[in-house]
Amino acid sequence: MTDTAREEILGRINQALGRRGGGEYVSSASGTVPTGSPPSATGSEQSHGTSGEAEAAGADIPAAGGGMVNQSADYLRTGTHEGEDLIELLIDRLVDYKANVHRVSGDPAATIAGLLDSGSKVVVPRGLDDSWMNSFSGEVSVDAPGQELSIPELDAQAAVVTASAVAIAQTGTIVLDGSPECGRRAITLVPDHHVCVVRVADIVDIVPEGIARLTPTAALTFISGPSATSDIELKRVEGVHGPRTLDVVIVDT
Amino acid sequence: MKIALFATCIVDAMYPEVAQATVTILRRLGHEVIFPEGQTCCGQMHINSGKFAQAEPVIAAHARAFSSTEWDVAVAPSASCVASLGHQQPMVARRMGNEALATEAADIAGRTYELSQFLTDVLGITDAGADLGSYFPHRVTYHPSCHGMRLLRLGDRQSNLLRSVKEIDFVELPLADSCCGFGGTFSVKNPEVSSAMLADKVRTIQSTGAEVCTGGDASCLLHMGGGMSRFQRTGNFEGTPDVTAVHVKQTSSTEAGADNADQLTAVVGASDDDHRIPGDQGTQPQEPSQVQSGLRVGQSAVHLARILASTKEDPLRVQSEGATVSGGSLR
Amino acid sequence: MTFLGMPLLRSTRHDDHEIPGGQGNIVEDESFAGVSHQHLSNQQLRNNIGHATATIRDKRSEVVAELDDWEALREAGSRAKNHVMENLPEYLAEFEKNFTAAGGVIHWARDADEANAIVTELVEANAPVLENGRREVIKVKSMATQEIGLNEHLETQDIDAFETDLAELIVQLGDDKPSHILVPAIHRNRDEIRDIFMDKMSDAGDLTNEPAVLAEAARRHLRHKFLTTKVAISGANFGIADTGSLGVVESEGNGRMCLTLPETLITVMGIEKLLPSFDDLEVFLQLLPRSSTGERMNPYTSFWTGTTPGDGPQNVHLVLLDNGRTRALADEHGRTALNCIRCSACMNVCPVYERTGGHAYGSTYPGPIGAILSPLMTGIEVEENGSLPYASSLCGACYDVCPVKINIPEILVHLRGEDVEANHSPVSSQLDAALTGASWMMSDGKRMAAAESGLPIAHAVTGGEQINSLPGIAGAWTSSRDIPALPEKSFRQLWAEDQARAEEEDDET
Repeated sequence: MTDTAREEILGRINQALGRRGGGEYVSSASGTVPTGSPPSATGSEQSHGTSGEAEAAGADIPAAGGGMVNQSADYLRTGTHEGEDLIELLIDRLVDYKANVHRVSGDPAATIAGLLDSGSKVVVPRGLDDSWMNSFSGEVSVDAPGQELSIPELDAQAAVVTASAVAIAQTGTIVLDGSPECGRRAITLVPDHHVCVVRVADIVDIVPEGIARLTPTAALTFISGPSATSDIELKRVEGVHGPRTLDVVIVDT
Repeated sequence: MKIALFATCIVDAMYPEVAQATVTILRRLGHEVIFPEGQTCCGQMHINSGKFAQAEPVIAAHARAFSSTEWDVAVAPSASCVASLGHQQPMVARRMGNEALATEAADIAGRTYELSQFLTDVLGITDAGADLGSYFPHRVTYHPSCHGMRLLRLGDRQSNLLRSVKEIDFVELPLADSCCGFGGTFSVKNPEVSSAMLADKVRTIQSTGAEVCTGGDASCLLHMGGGMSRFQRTGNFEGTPDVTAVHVKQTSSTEAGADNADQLTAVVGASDDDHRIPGDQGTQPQEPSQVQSGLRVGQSAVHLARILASTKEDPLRVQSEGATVSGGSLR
Repeated sequence: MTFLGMPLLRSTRHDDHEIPGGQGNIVEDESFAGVSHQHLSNQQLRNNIGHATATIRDKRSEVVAELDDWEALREAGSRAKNHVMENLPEYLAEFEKNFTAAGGVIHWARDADEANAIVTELVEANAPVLENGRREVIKVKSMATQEIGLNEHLETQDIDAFETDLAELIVQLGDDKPSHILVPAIHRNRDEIRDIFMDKMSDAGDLTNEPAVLAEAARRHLRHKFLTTKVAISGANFGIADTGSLGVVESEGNGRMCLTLPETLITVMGIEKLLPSFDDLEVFLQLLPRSSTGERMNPYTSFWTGTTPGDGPQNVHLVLLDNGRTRALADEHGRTALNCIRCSACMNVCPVYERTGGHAYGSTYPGPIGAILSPLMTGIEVEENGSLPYASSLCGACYDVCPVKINIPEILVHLRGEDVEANHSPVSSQLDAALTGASWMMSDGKRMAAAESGLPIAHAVTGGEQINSLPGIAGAWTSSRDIPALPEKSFRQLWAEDQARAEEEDDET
C-alpha cells in the first residue's frame, strides 16, 4: 500500500512542479551527490519551466542534500562576544530564563554537592568526571549501557548531574548530545532537578556557532531554562513536565 | 517640474478638496500641475475583489491617460493607490496575458509618487512650516495607512511633515499601526469584523482628544470619519457587536500625548499594572460606560494634504471654528 | 514568481489531471462572514484573545529587535524553504534514505484516511490492550495529526490518545477545538481553565486559578501516563534531509517525555517540513522561537535520527503526509504557503484573527496563514473555503512578521481571483454587479466624467446631507458608518471649470 502511495506522492510533486511525466521520478540516490544550489538558483527558473524545458532540466535537476542553501548568506555566522563578556552574556540569558547559575574555578565538586540534598539519590551518566561527585554524601547511581536505571528507578532520583556538549550564550541554551558525560536522554528528563556543568571552553556566542559544534546524528536536546509553559494567557510559568529546577555550574578550567 | 496629478477615484468623486489642496501645495512650490483627463482609478477595488478581468480595462485606462501626455512625475494623495500601481497593476496585466500593458503600467508606476514621498524624497522638504508655510493651530492625531506603512514603507515621512506644521499640536495615536478595518470590499464582505476593527480605532482616536484625525489615504479617512460620526451621533455602533477589546496602552512620546494619559485611562478603563489591556487581565468584559467616557464630540477626519496646504493667511478651519463636518469628514 | 504568459488563471495549474485536495480538519463549512458573527459577539472570547495576542506581539517585537541580522535571517529562511519546494522529490528521497539507514521506518500517506489507517495499524501492533479493553497512546502537540483528525479516528478504533501539551490538554478535557496553532487554548482564560480541570480531571483536587497551580495539576495528571505508556505519537517541526533527523520544538518537557520514554514512537509529518541540511537549523532555530513564543530560545528542542542504541524508543516510525500539500505546491502563485513553519506570528498580529478568534476559520490552520493554506490544500471550490481569502483587510501585518517571508496578502488576492474564476462567491451578488458597473465606468475617463456629472443632482436629492443609512449591500457599510454628503462637483469638473476660467483670463489679457 505505502509503496504505491510513495510513487503516487512523488508523482504528484513532479506534476505540481511541472516536471515532465507526472509519475516519473528521478532518484537522487542514483544521481550525482548534490551540493545544494547557490542562493541565486533558488529562484524559479529551474522548476517552473514548460514541459519542453523541464525535459532538458530533468537531467540535471539540482539534486538535493550535502550542504546548506545559505552558505553565502549575509546573516551573522560568528558572534562578537569573547572572554568574560561571553560568560557574562551566558549567565545573563540563563538567569533571564530562570536557571540558577553558579560559577567556579577548578574543581566543581563542592559547588555540586552544595546544590544537592545530602543523603538524597542522584543519578549520573557513566562518563561523568568521577571527581565531580566527591563531595556529595548521598547515593549516586551510575547509568551506563547495559546497566540502565529503569523508569521507576529514575523517578526515584532526586537529581541528575551531567556535563554538556555546548552552551550558546546569546540564547542561554545548553545542548546535551548523548555522549558518555551527558548520558542518555531519559536521565536528564525524569528527575526533577538537573545540575548541568558547562565548561568555559564549550561556550559559544551565537546559534550558528553552536550548531557547527554538534554531531547532527546524535540524540540532541537543547535546553534553555527549566521546563516552562505559556499556555495560560501567554503567561510564562516555569516547571511543568521536565525538571523544574535547572542549576548550571560554569567551570573555568 | 511638470507634475501629473493622479487624483484617485475616491478623491475625485468624494473629496475634490483634497485634490485641490494637493495642487495648491505643488504650485506653491513652483511646479506646473496637469490633470490627465482620461484618468479614473488604479483598479485596486477590482483587483482586491479577485476580479482581474474587470480590473484590466481599468488599468488600461490609467495607462492610456498617463501615457497620452508628457510629464516628469505623477503625484497622488494616496499611498494605497500608488502602491496598487506598482504592486498590483503589472501583476494583473501579466496574468491577463497583456505583457505590453504590464510594461506600460510598471513604467508609469515607477514615476508615480505618493504626496509625502514626493515632498520628502524628491524635493527634500523636511520642514512643512518653513518650506510650505503650513500652519494649523489644532490638536491633530495621525493614522498611518497600512499600505503607506507596509507597501510604500513611508516610515515617518508623513508624521514628520505633520509635526513640522506651524502651531500644530501633534498627538501620537495609540496602536496607530492597527488597521482601521476598511480594506476596500472587506468592509462590505465582512462588515462585522470590519466594524469591530473600526470601533477600536475610533476609541483610540477619541482617547487622544485630538480635534482632527489625519492621514494620507482618503479611503481610510472616509471609513474612520464614518465611524467617528456614527459613534458621536449614537454613542455606539448600532447593529454590530459591542466592541471593548481595545488594547490601548500609552505609546505616545510627545508631551501632548503624556498630558493626555488620564484620558487614555478613562477610555480603556485600565486597572492592570502592565497597562496592556482593559479589565483584569482580559478576564472581564468591560463596561460600555467606561468606554464611552472618552467620547469627544466634534472630532473629524481630514486628509493631510489639506493640513499641509493650510496657511496663516488661508487657514483650514475646523468644526469648532464653524467648519462643516459631514459623515465625520471635515469639509 | 514569474508568469509564463499563459492567458488564463486556471491554466497556471498543470492540469492534465487535477491533483487531489486534502481532507480532514481543513474545511470551513460555513462562510467566514457568517461564522465570525457568533465569535464577534462573544465578549469573553474577544477579551481573552485580545489580551493574549497583545502580550505575545510585544514579546516577539522585543526579541526580534535584539537581532541586527533579523531581515537577513528571514531572507535565508525563505530561500532555504523555496529551494526545498523546488527540489522536493530529491530531498524526500535523501531524507528517506538517511532516516531508514538509521533504523527508522517510513510510511507514505496520500491523505488523512491513509495516514490514520497507518497510525492505527502501528498502534495496534505495539500498544497492549489494557484492562478496559482499549489501547492508549500519548501525544505531543502536532498540527498534522490535528489536521487529519487522528484522535477522533483512534477513538473509533478503541484507542485513547492523550494530549500532553498543556493547552491541548485543556482543549481535549474541555471537549473543545484548538483556536491557535501555538496556544490552542488561547480563547480560554485562567478561570475557565480551572473550571475545566476541576470538572474533568479526577485527580485535580481543589485548584486556584493561578497559572502555576494549573500547570502543577497538569504535571500530576500526566506523570503516570508518561512513565508507563508504550507508544507515543508526535509531529515534527523539521526533517533534516542530509542526516535523516527529525526535530520537535517545545516548552514543557511533554515532548521530551513522549520522544524519550515510550518504546515506540510514531511521527506524522507533512512532506513540506524538510530542510536541506542540519546546518540550516542555524537559521531556523533563530527564526522559529523568536517568532513563535517570543523567546530567544524555547525551553526544549529535541532531535533524533532513526533509533539511537540504548537511548529512547527503539521502534521509530515516520508517516510522510501529503493530504493536499502537493495540490498547494501545484499553484505556483500560492505554493510559498508551504514554507510555513507554524510559528503563529501572523495570527498574533492579524486584526481579523484578534477579533474573531481561530474557530471562525473552520480549520486546524486559522488566521492569515490558514486563510491561504486551507483553500490551497483543498482547492478553492471545496465547501466554504472560498470565503477564507476574503477574511482579511489586506493590511499586510502578517507578511511583515512572517519569518520565512510568505507574502500572505498577495496570495490572498490571488486566491480571490481563483474564487472568482471558480464562480463560487454567491454571497454578494449586489457587490458583484456594482463592481461590474464600476469596471465599465472606470475603463474610460469620459464615462466616469459622465457619471460624476450626476453629482449636482445627487447632491440636491440628498439635500447636501450626510448619508446614514442605505439599502442592500451598501447597508453593510452604513451598519456602522456614516457617509459624508456628496460634493456638488467632482474634482474633474472643478478642474475643467478652473482651466476654462484661466483661458478666459488669458484671452482677456
